[in-house]
Amino acid sequence: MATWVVQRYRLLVRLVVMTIELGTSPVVPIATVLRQMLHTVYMTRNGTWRVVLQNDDVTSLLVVVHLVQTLCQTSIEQAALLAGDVHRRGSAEIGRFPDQAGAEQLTVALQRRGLHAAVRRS
Amino acid sequence: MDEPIQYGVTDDYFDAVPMGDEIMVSMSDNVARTLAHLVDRLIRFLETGEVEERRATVFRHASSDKVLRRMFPDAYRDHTEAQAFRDRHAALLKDTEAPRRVLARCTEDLAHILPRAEVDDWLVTMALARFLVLPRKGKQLGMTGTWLNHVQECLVRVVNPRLARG
Repeated sequence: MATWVVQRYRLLVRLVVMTIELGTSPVVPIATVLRQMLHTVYMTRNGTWRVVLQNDDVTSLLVVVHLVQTLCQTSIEQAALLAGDVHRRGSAEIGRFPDQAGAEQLTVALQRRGLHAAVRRS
Repeated sequence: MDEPIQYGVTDDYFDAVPMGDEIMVSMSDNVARTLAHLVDRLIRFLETGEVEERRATVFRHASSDKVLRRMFPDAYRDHTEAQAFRDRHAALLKDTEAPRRVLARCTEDLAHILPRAEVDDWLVTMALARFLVLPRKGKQLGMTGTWLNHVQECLVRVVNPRLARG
């Protein structure tokens, strides 16, 4: 419920700002306004897609670090920090994507190599 | 997590050492035969859903589904979305090209030269084969899980030497 209210509030603020900005022009192109509104609604509803790695009792830390480093294209230090987070806290976000397809592609790659990766919508 | 079980020393081994741009892999006859058996089971499971049955008849499908779910766990909180994810990516998740290449290696020679590009095949195969016999949580690795992890770690240490140094 709270998320719904915040989303609507953000949308309202965006619309007010757009109206003020576009109001200075003598002619307001309605198509531009509609396109901006639709884009705002789309982004508000879709947000970003996160890939979360969950801890398990079977994969060794060494292999997790290697897989995170190679599949997420991070440094070895960053991969070790992320793997440590997964081990200590039970899960950690390891990727963020603007689209579902990108998030699922990484999730498939990780699951195929035995890790419990999951997709979460922000 | 429980303390790992310590197993006694045996004649079995699996080693991987860098050799120029490639990797020299060697294993004992028993390890090669055991890996080949497990990989063969994995291929059959991925292609047909067949699992080694402890009980006949009605439990067969439930058991196969259980193995599939622990091999490829829910990617979404919602079960319907999670199942749709598995269906959408089934071709890639259940692809058996990598396990088939590993099976060929295990059955041809006890020692062979492995191109670095093939290491990923072994990581995929060993990772998935564990879930034929192990759950993700709440159970010790056991002999099979320990060996499959050992194979993975040997190869990772060769292709990622910085990790080997800690």
